[in-house]
Amino acid sequence: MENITQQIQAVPLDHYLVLSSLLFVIGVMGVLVRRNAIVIFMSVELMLNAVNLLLAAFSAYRGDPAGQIFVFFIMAVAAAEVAVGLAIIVMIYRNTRSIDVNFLNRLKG
Amino acid sequence: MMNNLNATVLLEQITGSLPYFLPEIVCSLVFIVAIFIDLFTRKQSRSLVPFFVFAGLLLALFFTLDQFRMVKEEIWLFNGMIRLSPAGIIYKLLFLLAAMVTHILSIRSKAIRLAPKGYAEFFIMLPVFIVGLNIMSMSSHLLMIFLGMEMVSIASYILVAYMAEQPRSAEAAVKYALFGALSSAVMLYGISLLYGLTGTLSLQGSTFLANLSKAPEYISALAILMVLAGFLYKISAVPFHFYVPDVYEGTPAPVIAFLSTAPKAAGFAVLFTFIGVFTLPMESYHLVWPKFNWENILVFISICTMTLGNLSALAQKNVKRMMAYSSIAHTGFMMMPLLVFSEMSAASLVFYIVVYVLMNLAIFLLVGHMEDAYGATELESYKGLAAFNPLLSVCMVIVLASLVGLPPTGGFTGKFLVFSSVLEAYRISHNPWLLYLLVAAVLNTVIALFFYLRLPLYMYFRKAEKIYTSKTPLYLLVIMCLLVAGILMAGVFPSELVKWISAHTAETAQIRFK
Repeated sequence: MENITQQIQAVPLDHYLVLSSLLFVIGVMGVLVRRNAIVIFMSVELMLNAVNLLLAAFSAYRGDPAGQIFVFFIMAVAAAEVAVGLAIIVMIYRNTRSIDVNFLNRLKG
Repeated sequence: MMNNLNATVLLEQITGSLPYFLPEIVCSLVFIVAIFIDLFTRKQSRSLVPFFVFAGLLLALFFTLDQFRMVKEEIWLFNGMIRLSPAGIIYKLLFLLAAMVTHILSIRSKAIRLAPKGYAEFFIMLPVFIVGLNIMSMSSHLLMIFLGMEMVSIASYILVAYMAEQPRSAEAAVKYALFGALSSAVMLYGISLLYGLTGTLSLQGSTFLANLSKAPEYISALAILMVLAGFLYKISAVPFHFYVPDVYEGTPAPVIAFLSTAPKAAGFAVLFTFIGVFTLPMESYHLVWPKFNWENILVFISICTMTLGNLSALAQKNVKRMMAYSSIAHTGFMMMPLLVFSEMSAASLVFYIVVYVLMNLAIFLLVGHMEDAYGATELESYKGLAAFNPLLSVCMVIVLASLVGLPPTGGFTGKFLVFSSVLEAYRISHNPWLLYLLVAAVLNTVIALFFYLRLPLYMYFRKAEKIYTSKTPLYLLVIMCLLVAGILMAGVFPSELVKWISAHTAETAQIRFK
């Protein structure tokens, strides 16, 4: 365990920050640009993974396990969220034969 | 050896906390058992699960009421993960009230009874909601806030998607789930930044704030705004409100009666805890944010929320959409006491939320009944309905008057308390933004008059096109009369309720606000 923490700390914290912000921004762009509901959910997952990376890095640097435990909870909750989300997408597909989110425009904002 | 001792202490903490966690434990057990009951008795009896769930909610209600006796001051449970305060118990009672009214309405609702999947699963979600909402209202640890919010969000996606055979409902559900997932991801990024900056996830004590104030200003402001975005989504404040009208329009009224009240109240409880952290009395510095004044940003959001909610409601033809915008506008009003950190504002927030829950349950009960009995969804189709349904129409007028904030209803008292707590704060701090907020709130109350009173206008002063002969079911009248009685009591005899609430919130307020 010590070894892993040391290895994580071998990379400067800034690098983790830059990588996770990049992942997060890619995720946000995916949500904004893509029109396929499944791809949008994948982008949200990418954002969550950016969060996980950040939490794990901070946790290792601070020597505090709370962050890593948080990561476990995020993984479990994200799985539940995606399960419900995909079920809804399947139902949409049965109705409209498409998983394009352009149909959302039919509802006014 | 040291480790062993630690583990024993931890275990004792956990077992010692369990008696204070009974309502949540009951709800979790009801959830699990109900799934199995549904699995094994689906063929024989359809009404067993709803009955069982209702019994479970009653038991949870009993334990929650019991907590008023057990808890006289703040108690920290599970090693500081959860803070059980007297104010939190009031929130928990409200959630149970909303869940039980929703339960009774849903059993009778046409849309839910006729769902092709069967309706048992619908009721199984209610105890899940209660657990999530209770955790939200009791948490003061970022992990518990996240878990509570996600529990509530996932359960609400399922309820909104329950009628997904209708295309409109399915679209509302996708919109809700997609933006919900997005907002929780943004909130999590904010939380992870806060964790990195402060090194703790607990909002308890002064470590969080002390470490945060040492952090670079812009990055901590960014982190806080991201976390706030998640909370604002939950209470549907302005930049994050766009999903509300669609979701409300495409969802059966009993579900909306629940979703527009309980999760919003819990969102305010969380927001109150979170903002309270930044008002902790500190010795070394006074202002938490010398340069970046996010209090004014919240004032701005509050003004935008109420104005946009009311102005958009004016233009609506569909009654459910109108009520959706009305609940957005009420979010704006409920944000007002959050911006003022005083003992009075803590009490007035809880009072407003109590009245808001009663009003919104009542109005969606009525809207749902009108839809089921007369097929009335548009404003036009409410023409002359008062003639067929005198008692319910009178109730509707009272509820609408309360939503506007006219005396002698609870809505008036709530607005009065909220406004005066802001005025009091303005007298002390002379922050001009608080004055703008007050002016905007008063103007908005006037605007609200116009769209709320259009409903009675159509119901009383227009001729009906058809003759209806549907009887009002008794259960509906009883619930309606109880809700209206509550609203009137809160308006005519507010002092008792205010005293009771401030006795429960005072302690929270004293600890947080000096």
